[in-house]
Amino acid sequence: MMEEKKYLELLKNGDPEGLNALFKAYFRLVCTVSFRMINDQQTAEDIGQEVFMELWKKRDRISITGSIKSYLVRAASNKTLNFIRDQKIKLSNAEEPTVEDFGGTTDTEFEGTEELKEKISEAIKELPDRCRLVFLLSRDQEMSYREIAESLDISIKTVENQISKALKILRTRLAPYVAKMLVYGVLWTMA
Amino acid sequence: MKKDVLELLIHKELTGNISVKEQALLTDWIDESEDNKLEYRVVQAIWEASTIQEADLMPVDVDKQWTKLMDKAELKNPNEEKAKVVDLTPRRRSSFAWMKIAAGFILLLGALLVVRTFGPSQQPNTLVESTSHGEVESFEMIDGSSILLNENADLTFFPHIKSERRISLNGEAFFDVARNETKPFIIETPNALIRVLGTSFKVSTEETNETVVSVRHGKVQVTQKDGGKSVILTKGQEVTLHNDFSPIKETMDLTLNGFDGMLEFNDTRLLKAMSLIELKFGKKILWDTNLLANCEVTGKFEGKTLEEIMAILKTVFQIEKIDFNNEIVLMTGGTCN
Repeated sequence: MMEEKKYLELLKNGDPEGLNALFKAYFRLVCTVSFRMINDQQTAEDIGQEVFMELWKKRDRISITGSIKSYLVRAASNKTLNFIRDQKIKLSNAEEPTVEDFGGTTDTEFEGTEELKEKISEAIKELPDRCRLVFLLSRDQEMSYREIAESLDISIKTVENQISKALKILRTRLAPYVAKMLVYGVLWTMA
Repeated sequence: MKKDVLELLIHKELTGNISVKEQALLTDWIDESEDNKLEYRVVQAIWEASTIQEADLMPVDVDKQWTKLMDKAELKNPNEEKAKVVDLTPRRRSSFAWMKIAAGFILLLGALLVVRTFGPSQQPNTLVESTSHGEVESFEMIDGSSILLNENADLTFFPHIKSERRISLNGEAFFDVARNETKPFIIETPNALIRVLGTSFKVSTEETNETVVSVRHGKVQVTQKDGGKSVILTKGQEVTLHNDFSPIKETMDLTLNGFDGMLEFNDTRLLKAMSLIELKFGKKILWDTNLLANCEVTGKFEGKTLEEIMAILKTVFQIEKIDFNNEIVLMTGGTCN
């Protein structure tokens, strides 16, 4: 954290060294936040560029109240939401697959936490668009139901339904793995 | 309990938004059977494990991307950006196709507070921003709010307070508050707590230890710290709090007088300059950002009327037509050269 403060100071003084340090530390994270939302690597990289370009341009008047990390994560999310809005990307809604369509898996032959993380990322990626966005705004951005509703221009009721649905789909898909890990007590070492 | 709401209840619990009643429901359900207990722990574990972790990070050629960014940044000439310019442009601008549009959901709270006895906070976890003599500084917050801090002022943020957006102020400042009903925006002065309730307005205090609030639009609640008396102000109303509240009166002065230097531009992008002009005069200016957003403007407009400033801009940027309406100014055409 002390290091970060130093880099932020450098950045504010117009020293590219500060920007470089923050870029190295967080560029991939920023891209990942966006990528998780839209599943498009090229756009995610463009949005990452935009976020850091803006950080550079606004460096002498920027005020970050929390950590620089959460500032960047939120910026990436906002830019991605704007992108979705501007591009009028249609979020899949009607005729969405139901929870059952995602089915449980019978393949429980796996060991280790690495694989579980991978399975979870994969499962999140395959959630229906709107469902995934709602879930990620809660998970990655820690937004309240109301904030999510406002960001996506949907009702709070819809947010609740989608959260519920996301967790249900994830549980159905991942339960066999997770339950096994819980039994062996492996999961608690993940954090 | 209906199984449908189970996931939602667990989610509410995990994010700390569960009510007492809901918590009781959930606990009962969990205690019902070992299967339920396991199911609960599975959802919990999935939630915990679904944060972005090192292994989830997208593969990116970081060095290549860095070179790309530097190229772009240098094309834009970073030095030009170094001039201290206040930027209060709405962050959602990119979604406006060609014209700035009054964003109805943004609350404007103008706060001019002069305070003597209030020193910078010594508490840990706070962030203090200060301005020196003759300096006007602006801050753009993550939530979309912005703050214009006048000279010789201190502003204290409390990042650890999550339930509300709290700020304390020593000096003068103008607040443009983004709407968020779940996180109230509260400004603390030595004798008052000012709470944003509705749309847009302006607050000002001119004598030591006296808080004056005047409302541009919308609704604001002002509460006396000692005694807890409070008043609610709406559009065009003003109140003074010293030892007690003055009677509420009508106010006409809704401009940002006293923020000297606010309209001093030095190769400032027109987009920034226009935002400040709008803020100063409390009017919305509609103009073609496609034609003019990247134009630069230099000059001191302090002490000029809105009409005078617009007349100058009209000549400089060859604006075809300017229409003054009640709250909106419409500029047609124009070019950077």
